[in-house]
Amino acid sequence: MLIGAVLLGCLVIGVPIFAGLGIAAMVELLRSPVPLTMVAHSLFSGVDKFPLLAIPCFVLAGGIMGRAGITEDIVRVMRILVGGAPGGLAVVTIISCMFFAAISGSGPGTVAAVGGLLIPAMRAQGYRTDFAASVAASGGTLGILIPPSNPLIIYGVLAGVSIGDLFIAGILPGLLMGMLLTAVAVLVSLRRGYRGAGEADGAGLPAALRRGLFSLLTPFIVLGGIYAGIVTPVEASVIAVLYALLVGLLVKRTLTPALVWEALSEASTICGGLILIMGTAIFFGQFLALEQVPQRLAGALTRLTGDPTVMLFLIASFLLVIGTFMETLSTIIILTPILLPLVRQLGIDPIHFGIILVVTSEVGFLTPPLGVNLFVACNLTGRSIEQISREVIPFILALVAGLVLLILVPQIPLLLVR
Amino acid sequence: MLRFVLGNAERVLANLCLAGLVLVLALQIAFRYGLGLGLSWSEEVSRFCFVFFVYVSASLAVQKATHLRVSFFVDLAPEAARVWIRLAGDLIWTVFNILVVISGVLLVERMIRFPVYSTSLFLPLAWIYAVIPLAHLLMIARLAERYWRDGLGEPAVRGGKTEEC
Repeated sequence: MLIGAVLLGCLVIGVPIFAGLGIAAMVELLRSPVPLTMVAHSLFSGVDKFPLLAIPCFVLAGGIMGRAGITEDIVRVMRILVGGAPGGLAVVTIISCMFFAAISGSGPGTVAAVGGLLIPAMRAQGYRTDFAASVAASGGTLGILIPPSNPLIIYGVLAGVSIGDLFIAGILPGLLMGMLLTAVAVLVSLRRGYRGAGEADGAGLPAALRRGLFSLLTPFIVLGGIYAGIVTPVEASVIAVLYALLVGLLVKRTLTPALVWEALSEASTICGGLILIMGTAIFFGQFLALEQVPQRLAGALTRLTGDPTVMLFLIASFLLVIGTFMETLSTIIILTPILLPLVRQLGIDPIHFGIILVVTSEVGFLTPPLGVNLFVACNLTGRSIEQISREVIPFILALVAGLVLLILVPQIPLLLVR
Repeated sequence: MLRFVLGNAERVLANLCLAGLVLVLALQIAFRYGLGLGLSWSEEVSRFCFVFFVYVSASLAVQKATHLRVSFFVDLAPEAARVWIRLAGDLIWTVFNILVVISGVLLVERMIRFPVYSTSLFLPLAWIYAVIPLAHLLMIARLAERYWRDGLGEPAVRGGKTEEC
């Protein structure tokens, strides 16, 4: 129990999460006969895991694509296709987010890429800024549900579940959430009288398609191989980088070596504070397992209820609360080893659980005080968290409705798997 | 020149590690799907590039103050107390890093006395594992540098609270 108390104490006073996990396990280690060298060993082996390589590669690919102008091509086509509907640009934003989510594994990354283009466009057509910002922030949450997905990679490594299967399980829930968010955007737009942009005539469609052909192919190139079972997620992430370079350097000729370097720097900075948490988390997990904390927790909770669905609702509610003030990836890293034995014991499919975990993280992206997607939307618009978060409530409700549906109907994520 | 190296060492090194691992994996893919040959060394090299990338970029994240932490509760405290809470947190962090450095040095020293080699290229693992104590030492240095520069005040966070997940 000491180990948990030290961790909580460290997190509350703002010790970086990786060091908090490390020092908590260290306290246990120093009281035990385990040699000190185990720390360095765990920190190395915790990170020395091949599937994790996909994370910086997908981040890098997203950075290169943004700089190469691939997002612009996608948005142009979507504007022509669905821009004429009521609340056209809001719908375009969400559909473009879905498309970009199939290239990027990150939520905030998706908000930045799509919101950067479409929030100004929505404002220009008289949409309220806070509404425009919350559409982009909520659409961006799909970045981690529609594969590829950084949280699903981490979860797969920790839970020992095939990452390819997890990616495939994310497709239908991703489409479902996309539709729910679109419905909310349309309803709000109808009530406020935001009209379409009158670009649905399709006149410019062939030209836009021709211009954006290579960009539009990106998700299919990146993910096709995974769905077909030909390439591993790591290989797919490298193919994404190479394809982005190819399109940017040779086809569109928008990339320069300086921009590629900039994308590398961005990926290094983003991953720097993040992936090393895996190292201390593995170290922490070893002592947690030694103390049998997950087993004892599972024992206590199963006495409460033995019903898998009720348990999933309990866990999901707990995660929604945690998600308001904890960053999502660290939550998944800390809680997966603790909750997984419980989940397995109740016969819940770990793939189903992974999707539930990611959907609660999506809500966590949008709930203050710590909602990373809201921060990005704030940076893009100069509005405050309080102002935007009022407009984001209907979207949160839609995501929660989707979450309930996904808990009740495990077939939605599991249908396409195997 | 020296100032550039001191200011950007981790960034340049991390970028090169990342570019290197992409390159090695690209080669692996080309060989497997193009020529139908499996490379025996590519996975190992890319994994080691990755571990270097992770820990070198972690030091970069200290420099940029982008390590993930829970700031919610600290922000609830009164302004005057926050400085000391932050300092306490960073001290705990430093203690952890010092213990990791000691642990890493002990491990590397043992690996030099009783050499262990990697499975496919027979690289001496002592040199690969050395990144753990080195990077954690570097993080302490960057943290000290930040206090030297900014004093006890709020660390200057570039662009938002946390960037990614």
